[in-house]
Amino acid sequence: MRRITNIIFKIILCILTGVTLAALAFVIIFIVKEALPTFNDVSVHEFLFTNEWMPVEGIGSGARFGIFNFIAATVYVSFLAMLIAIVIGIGAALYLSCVATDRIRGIMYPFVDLLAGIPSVVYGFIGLTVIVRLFLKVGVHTGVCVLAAAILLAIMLLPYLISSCSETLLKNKEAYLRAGNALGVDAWYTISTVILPASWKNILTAMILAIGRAMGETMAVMMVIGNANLFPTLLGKSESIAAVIALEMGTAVNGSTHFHALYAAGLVLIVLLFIINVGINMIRNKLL
Amino acid sequence: METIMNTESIGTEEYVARSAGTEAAMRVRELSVSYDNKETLHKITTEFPKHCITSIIGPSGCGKTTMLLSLNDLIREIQGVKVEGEILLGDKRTDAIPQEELRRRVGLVFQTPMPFPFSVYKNLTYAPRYYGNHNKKDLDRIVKEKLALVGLYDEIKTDLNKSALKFSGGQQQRICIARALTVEPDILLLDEPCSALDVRSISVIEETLLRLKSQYTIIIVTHNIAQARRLSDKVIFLKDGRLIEEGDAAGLFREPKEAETREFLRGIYG
Ligand SMILES: Nc1ncnc2c1ncn2[C@@H]1O[C@H](COP(=O)(O)OP(=O)(O)O)[C@@H](O)[C@H]1O
Ligand SMILES: [Mg+2]
Repeated sequence: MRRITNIIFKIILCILTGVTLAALAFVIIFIVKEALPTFNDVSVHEFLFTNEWMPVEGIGSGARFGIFNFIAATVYVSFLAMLIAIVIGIGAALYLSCVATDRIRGIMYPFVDLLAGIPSVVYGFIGLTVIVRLFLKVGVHTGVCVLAAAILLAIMLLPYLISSCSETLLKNKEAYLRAGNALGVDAWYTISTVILPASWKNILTAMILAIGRAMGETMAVMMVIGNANLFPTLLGKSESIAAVIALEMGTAVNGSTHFHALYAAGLVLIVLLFIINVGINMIRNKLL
Repeated sequence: METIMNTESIGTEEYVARSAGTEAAMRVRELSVSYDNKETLHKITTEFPKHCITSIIGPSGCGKTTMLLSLNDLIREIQGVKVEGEILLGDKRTDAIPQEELRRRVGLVFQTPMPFPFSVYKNLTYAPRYYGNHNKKDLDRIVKEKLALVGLYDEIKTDLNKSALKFSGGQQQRICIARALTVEPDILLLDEPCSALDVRSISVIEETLLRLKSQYTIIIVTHNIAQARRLSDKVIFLKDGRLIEEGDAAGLFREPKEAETREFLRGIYG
């Protein structure tokens, strides 16, 4: 009887795993299949490295599909957001793990988790009413810009970064702080020379997951980045890959090059994410 | 020393009186410690003779770790702790000694080996560097000397740049003992240092401690009575935060005075 239950259980697990893998394979195959026809009309090089995006034929000019600016904007805004978020996130995590008492930690953690659960459209709304308005006051024309998107995105990444960083910091603090204390070494010295270095590996893992979220984030970024096909600059407008897809998929004629090009842009986003993951992983394994 | 070795197991007051002639490295008077107003140690008075191994034994939860943590003031790192009474290092109250100096002079080794996640060399030079020693030659000497003290130098001298986490549990614990010695303490506290180790490592560590005795005063918490017998010059038996009985090891194990001690020792032997 025991054995039969075991076997049944195993079979169920195998089926569930199979379904997951199949779904993933299906998504990738589907996107690749829909993306490929693009390259009948546009060369890969032109698609990736030119910056004219004119999906509909105009008078006297053919349609053009170059997504270089979108790629640049996606990478630019994600890394900028990550930079802002990781500095603040590690600071907050250090406070929570090494300064705050158990009671304060007990109060703060649920709040941080709550922040992680807020839908991105709400963040986008806050971005419009607070960040964009602030930029407008400071004198940025129309207020929407890449920096606004990066700040908003950073705020969205913070809860996740704070909770995962403070978790590893806390674990390493429990392991090493007392050992430092027992040698008479100052707590902050132990934190900066032992506990933080010991936590880098997990912090980098958290960064990989966060950057994935940042690059795929559509709604909030779309609301504040300005959506103009321009090369990203801090205070200028730009447009991310995810935003292009979301904005144009509804109007693209089914089966047109435009339609396929949007799929190709999605494929580029996936590949980009993959490259960045592998890159950070390599840094992580080399450094530590 | 002699007086202690010859003393039969006797009641607490009498023991303190008789061994008064022996020089104590540390003394504790009326030490009470409570966590969040829950009293964990109650008016402990005892002393730790120089260049001896003193074992603290007792059922789990009786306050042995609390006692050790009090001795080098690590207890203050815990929230909600109250400490009363006095602790003397030599003839100076520990609360009059700067915390950093106290912790240097009274080293502590924890139950689970906790080497830093660095190379052995970096582990052993960590504290000396912190205290301003950056002389390469000097640091090399410290590493060699302290590893030799714990009988590890010949064993791992070609692996000094290997991560300390890659060594066996017993080796890690000896690295931790060596690390505690790098700040030149007078007294070495060990909190059940062998409880996570295999039999072979335990006997190596015991040999190490017996060797270190000539240079350091050693205070060890152990739940292993056989180990306390093998190592100790003096034994302190705690129960429920009270000092029930203390005395020279040979006498106390042969002929415990207090019924509770007898019961505890019998319980351990089964
Ligand atoms: N950080 C702490 N906070 C509250 N109570 C504690 C703490 N550490 C220990 N205690 C309590 O103090 C008592 C003695 O603990 P401890 O000194 O660790 O005992 P032992 O080392 O003899 O097993 C136990 O009842 C334990 O629950
Ligand atoms: Mg203990």
